[in-house]
Amino acid sequence: MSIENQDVEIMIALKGGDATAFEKILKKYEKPIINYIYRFIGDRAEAEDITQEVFLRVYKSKDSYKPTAKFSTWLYKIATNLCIDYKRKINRDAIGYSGTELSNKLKDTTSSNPVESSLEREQLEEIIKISLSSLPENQRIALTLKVYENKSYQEISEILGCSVSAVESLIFRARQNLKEKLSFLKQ
Amino acid sequence: MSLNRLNCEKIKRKLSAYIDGEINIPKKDIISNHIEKCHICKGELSVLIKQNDLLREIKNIEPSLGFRTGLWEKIKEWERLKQENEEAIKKTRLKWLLPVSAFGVIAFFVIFAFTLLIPLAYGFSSVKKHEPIYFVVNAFSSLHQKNILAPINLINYCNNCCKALCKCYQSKTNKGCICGGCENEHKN
Amino acid sequence: MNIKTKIAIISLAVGILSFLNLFGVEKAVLAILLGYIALKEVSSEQKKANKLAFGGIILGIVYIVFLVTIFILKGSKIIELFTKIK
Repeated sequence: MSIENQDVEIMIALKGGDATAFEKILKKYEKPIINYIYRFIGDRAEAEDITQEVFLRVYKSKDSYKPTAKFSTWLYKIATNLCIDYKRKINRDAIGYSGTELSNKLKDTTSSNPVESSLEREQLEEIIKISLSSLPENQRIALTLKVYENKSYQEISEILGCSVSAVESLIFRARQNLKEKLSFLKQ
Repeated sequence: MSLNRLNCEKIKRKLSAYIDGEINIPKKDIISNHIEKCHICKGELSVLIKQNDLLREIKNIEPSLGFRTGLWEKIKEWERLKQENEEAIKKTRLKWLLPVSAFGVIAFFVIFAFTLLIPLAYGFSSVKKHEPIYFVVNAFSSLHQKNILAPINLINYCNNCCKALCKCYQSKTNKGCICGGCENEHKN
Repeated sequence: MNIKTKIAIISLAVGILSFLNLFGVEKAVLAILLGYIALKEVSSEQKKANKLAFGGIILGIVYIVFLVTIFILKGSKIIELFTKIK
């Protein structure tokens, strides 16, 4: 049974009232979703809250669930929409740096030695997070889904509701933007 | 050469999709061949690959210990509210609501259509040639609503219907007003 | 269908109805429908919201009954005239 069919089977079981089915979904998608959301918004506690909200919505719609789209696509769509809503609510980027602030912060955290110690590793993560959060929303979503969740362009286009070529262009531009910001790390 | 530069530009645009494995086989071969020969594009490719690897440096996080319990608490809360709501609605016998109101609305529209069509029907079966037009106009003009309170507009409309029928009666039988409303009009 | 879609549909319906003027029955119908939709939603503000919803529904029904009553009372006179013409 392919992965898609497995998911649909679980949802149908959940619809029928099988409580363990929901645990199966949690076990499978808990970590990927929380990491996806964490990489998007950058705040760990909020990421957990939003993830709980995502699965709560899955649970709420168990009665009306129709297996029209791939289950993971639907799940990621919910997660993406909630992330976007969260961002709109706080009305600024999670880390909230403008262009000049960004380059200053990058200068501060740059070390000339290659990353070895855990402190520097943390700094590196911080830099990457800052650079990612400076990307425009759609580019960030598309790149995150590709690099971290390893979704195909087709799936990303379904999650974002745009064409495959639009996804390709988003990811291309995201990488170009990041190239400039991460260029100091070129070794 | 300018032709090579044009090629390089095109290839660079496709490198992103290339490392994602989203290029179909024929194009993939063309790009692979080009990269072997062109050191600029080769460099570009290695930068992209390094960038990709660098991005993946962000470690995965684990859900905290309280995550699942928190989630189940939220689910239980929602279930409780849902149950509460269903009980509150059941108490009021809500399932009668829609049929009763639908019946009321249909009755309203039936009666309304009846009152609208009568002057028309009698307009046509009445006396002279230009008369039907008078009655048709009268039927629709009796719909005009001068008052801000909707029920009063309805009462006025019903009165106008009576007047229209009365006029019809008068022209047919050449007798006086029977509705009681035409006299007021004459007085005015 | 989430809450945003529902409110959007309501907006569209009211926009279309603003062209109509049927002695207020269109508003009564809308009140009943909206109240019904509101009752089906589950939220933490349930008790207050349900009271409001019931208020709207009851007002809608009362108004429709009121209109139909007026119509029947006046209608009897209209039928009287009608039969006389015949």
